[in-house]
Amino acid sequence: MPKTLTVNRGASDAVRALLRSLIEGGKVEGVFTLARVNNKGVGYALIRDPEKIEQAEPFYPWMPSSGGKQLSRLVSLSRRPRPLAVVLRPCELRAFVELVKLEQCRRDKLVLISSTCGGVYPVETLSDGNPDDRVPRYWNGLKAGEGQPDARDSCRACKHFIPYNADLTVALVGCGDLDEKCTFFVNSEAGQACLEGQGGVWGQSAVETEATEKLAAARDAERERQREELHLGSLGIEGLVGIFGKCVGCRSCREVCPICYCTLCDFDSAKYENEPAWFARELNSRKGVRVPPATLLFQMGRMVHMSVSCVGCGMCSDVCPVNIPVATLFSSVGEANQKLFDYVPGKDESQKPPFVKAELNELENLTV
Amino acid sequence: MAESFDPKILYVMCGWCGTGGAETASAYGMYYPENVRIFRVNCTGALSTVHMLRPLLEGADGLVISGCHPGDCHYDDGNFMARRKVALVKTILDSLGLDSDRLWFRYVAHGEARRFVDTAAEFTDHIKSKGPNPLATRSDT
Repeated sequence: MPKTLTVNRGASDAVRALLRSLIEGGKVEGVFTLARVNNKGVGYALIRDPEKIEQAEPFYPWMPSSGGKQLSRLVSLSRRPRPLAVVLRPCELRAFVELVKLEQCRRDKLVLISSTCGGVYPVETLSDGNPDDRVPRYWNGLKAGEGQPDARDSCRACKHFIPYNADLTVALVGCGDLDEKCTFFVNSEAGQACLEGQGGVWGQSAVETEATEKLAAARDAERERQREELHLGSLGIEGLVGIFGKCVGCRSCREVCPICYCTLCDFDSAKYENEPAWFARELNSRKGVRVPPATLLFQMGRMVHMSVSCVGCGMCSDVCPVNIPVATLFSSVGEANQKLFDYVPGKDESQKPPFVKAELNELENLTV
Repeated sequence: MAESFDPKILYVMCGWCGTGGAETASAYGMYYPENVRIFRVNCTGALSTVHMLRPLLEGADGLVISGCHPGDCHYDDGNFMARRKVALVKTILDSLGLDSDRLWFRYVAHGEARRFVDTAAEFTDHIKSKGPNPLATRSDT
C-alpha cells in the first residue's frame, strides 16, 4: 500500500500550493497544468511565475486537448537539465507513457501528478453558457463517487480512471471531504521528494476504495450499453458506410489524437494524390467515386495504425463536426486488438508495444 | 454468372522465400491461376498494414501473403511481425463485421514450388466460392 499525505485544503488548492512550493523551492523548472485563459475556459500552460499558479485549474472538468500529446511535444527526445512538474488526467498520462514507449518523448525529469478521474465534459460545452456553472455539479458528483450523465461518452465508459505510472496520485473519486481535505498517494521516490517539507498527516492506504469499485462497475455497464447501441460486430459494409458516410474529411480526429504522432500522415502523402487516370479507372470499376475519396480507408487505416495504443480519451469524438461516435468505435476495436496482444496501452512502462517485437510462439492458428 | 467470376487476387511474397518458391515453380514449368497478381516485397514484415487493407477496400477480391517458415526469416523476425500485422488487420475486419477470410497468411519456403502453386490455386478456389468482394465495387466508401 502506498504512503499517503493528507493536507487540510481542498484538492485544487492543495495541488496549487504544492506546485507553488515546488517552483519556489527550486525543485522544478516549471509546471505543466490546465490554467485559466482570460478568466474564461482553460488551456494547457507551462508556468514558472509562482503568482500565476493561482490561475492553474488542475482538475477543471474539461480537456481542451490531450495533455499527453501536448506534453510530449514539449519534452522531446533531448535531455532537459531540470525537472518539470506535470498534472495530467489518467488517460492523458497513459497517452504520454504510450508516446514514451513509441520513442516520441522522454519520461525522465518529470514529476507526474495525476488523480482518480470523474471524467470531463465535452469540449463544445466550454462555450455553452458559463462553464463555471457546471463545475459545482461536477465536484458534488465526484464526492458521491458518481460520474456525470452529460460527460463525454468515453469518460462515462472509462474503466482506467485510477492513474498508472503517476508519481503522485490525488484521490478525488468518492472523497466526501474534497473541499476541506486532500490526500496525495506516493507512488515513487520522485513523488516522495516532492512532498518533503509539506505540512500534513502521513499515513498509508490504498487508492482503490469501495467508491472507486462502484464507479468502475457503473462504467463497465455503461461501456457495454454503448457497444450494444453501436452494434459493432454486425456493422458490416452497410453499417460502416452509414457511420462514416457523413465524414467531411477534416482529419480533426487525427489531429487531436494523442497516439497519431506522425508529422506526415500516410494519408496525406503523395500516394493519395489521385491522378485523373485513377479517377477514370475508379469510374470504370465502381461506376462512381465518393468525394473526398477513400474515407473508409482513412478511418480503417487509422484503426490499424493507432487502435492498439488507443487510450480511449475521447478527443476524436469531441472534435468531430458531424458527431460520428469515433471514440466509441475506435476504443471498441482497440480493445479487441489490445486483447489479442494482451496489452493495455500506457499501463506498464516496461512492456513493449506490440509492433516493436514479435514472439516465436504466438498466433499459431493464424496461418492457413 | 458464378462460373464467369474471375477473381482479382493479390499475392504478396517475401523476396527471399515466397518469390523463390515462385521461381522454383517456373523452373519446373508449373502452372498457377492467371488471375493471381504477384507482388514482391523485400520482407513480409516490411509490408504496411495499410497495404493489406487498401487492396481489400479498393478492388481486390482477396489478398494472400507468403512469408518464410518460422525460423527462416532473413531478418530474424520479419515473418513474425507480418503475422502480428495480419492478426491485427483480421481482428479489425472481424470486429467491424467485415469478411476477414479474404486475407490469408501462409508460409512458403524457397524450394516449395508445389506449395506456392497449390496456395495460389486453393486461394483462387476459396475466393471463387465466396464470390466478388462487395467492397471492391462500392462507390460510397
